[in-house]
Amino acid sequence: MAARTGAGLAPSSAPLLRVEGLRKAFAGPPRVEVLADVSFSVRGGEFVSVVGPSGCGKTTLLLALAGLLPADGGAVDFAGARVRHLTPEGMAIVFQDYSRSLLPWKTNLGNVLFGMHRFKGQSTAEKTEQAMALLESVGLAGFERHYPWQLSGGMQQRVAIARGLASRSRLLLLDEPLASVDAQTRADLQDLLLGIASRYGQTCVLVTHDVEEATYMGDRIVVLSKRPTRVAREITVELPRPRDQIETREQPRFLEIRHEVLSYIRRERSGAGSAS
Amino acid sequence: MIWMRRGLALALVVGVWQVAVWLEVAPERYLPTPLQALQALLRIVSSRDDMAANGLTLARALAGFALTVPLGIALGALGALVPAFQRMMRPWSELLRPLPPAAIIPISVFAIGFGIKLYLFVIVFAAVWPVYFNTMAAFAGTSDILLRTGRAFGYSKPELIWSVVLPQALPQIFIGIRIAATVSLIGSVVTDLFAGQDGVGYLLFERAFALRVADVFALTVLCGLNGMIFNEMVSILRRLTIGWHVRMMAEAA
Repeated sequence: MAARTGAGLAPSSAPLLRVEGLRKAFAGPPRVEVLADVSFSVRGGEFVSVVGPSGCGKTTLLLALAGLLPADGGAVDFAGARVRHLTPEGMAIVFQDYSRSLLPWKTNLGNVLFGMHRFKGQSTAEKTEQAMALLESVGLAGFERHYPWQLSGGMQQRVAIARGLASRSRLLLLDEPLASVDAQTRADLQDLLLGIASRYGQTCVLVTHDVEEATYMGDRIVVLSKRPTRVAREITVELPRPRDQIETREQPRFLEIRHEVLSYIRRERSGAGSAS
Repeated sequence: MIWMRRGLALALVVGVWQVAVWLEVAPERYLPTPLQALQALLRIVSSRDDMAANGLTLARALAGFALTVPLGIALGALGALVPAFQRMMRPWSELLRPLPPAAIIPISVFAIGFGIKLYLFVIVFAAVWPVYFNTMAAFAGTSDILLRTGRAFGYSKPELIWSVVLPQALPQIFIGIRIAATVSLIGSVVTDLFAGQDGVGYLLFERAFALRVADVFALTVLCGLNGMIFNEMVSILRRLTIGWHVRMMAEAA
């Protein structure tokens, strides 16, 4: 784990992201309390997975982290500054719904360049060169001039990942990025993300409903309760890196974590009363 | 293949027309044969004066259309972004939108007199609505996820409108633009007819009163051909501005 030093990051003692008592309810009727009290933190260079029973407000949490949804209470601090109604510079999101988050009127290259909006000082030629390199690093060399809708789902999500990386963000928020691709592509993209994370020392928060994915990817797992949501437990994943789709998933520790989280979620779901 | 189908459709119309002539559905002097109409059309097309008149009609329609499109988009954008503006416009747009171009000519003449200003007024007035409504709906229909994506990458509100909302709205705006093109042409011909001194509508009026029936048929066909020219113009415009959408639809088919 010590090998995963973040590029240009402060020593990892101070957390990069700190979530403190985050609350969010959707005004009804009926009023739905989604986040009751969510607190956790992410250090620079860490890969944190967030899992929880379906409907526990994972996406709500992620949008609130990114300043895209105002919370009712609590605080999100990113790199020492409070996150308010704006996604702070240095944070990027990859959404689950790649087919709707990519711009269909822009080529794949154009979509990646769209993610470099904040680099106003740079020339277009420089940005283009970087965008091409990113597309190559996600395995899409040769598809720069194609449009997203000409690609398969897995390839589209690679474009979205490249775009997320293009903003050179210190924190990459991944909202179920692999939920709508087939199993084979999914495994490929998991390894792609892990490769990128270790190569760039990229700090990632992955929100997923898939416990195995959370375990396979993460340094740590934040397990959420059912609604109204709190952090039920945090599990450190002491599995060696680089991880391997076959070896890692057979390790006793992997199976142990899987068992623990899955049985917790099942208990939560079977005990699920009404939403309120 | 498409030309064969079009040829077939044309042959069918001409065939029915010829049969109507043979059956003497209307007295001969009011119903020319297709051949007579074609001869009249060729005469008109090779007449410098007649084609100049037609050119005027087309040019005015084009000028009105060129004003209508940006105005309609601007108003539609304003309507979508400023709810108060939309509320203010609603009663007016509901009242004015169903008026046919011909019905507004008398008031327009009182208000602004004759000439090119009248044409532009009538055309913009009649053609702006489809662009306005489609723009408003397309702006309002921008998906949350696209907006969030833009905001997450640091786009300010004006930048979002320009780089996300407008481009995603263009395919739907073009539905309005296509209608506006046809309405512009109608507005131009109708103004010729009711308040013009030249143009293809005026020719139509003149020849009708002179009972030059074959010419009237030919001029009607010419108006149809003008419509095809305008339609083709919109198609080219569409390919130039939203070629991606044209290709996307073609590849999805």
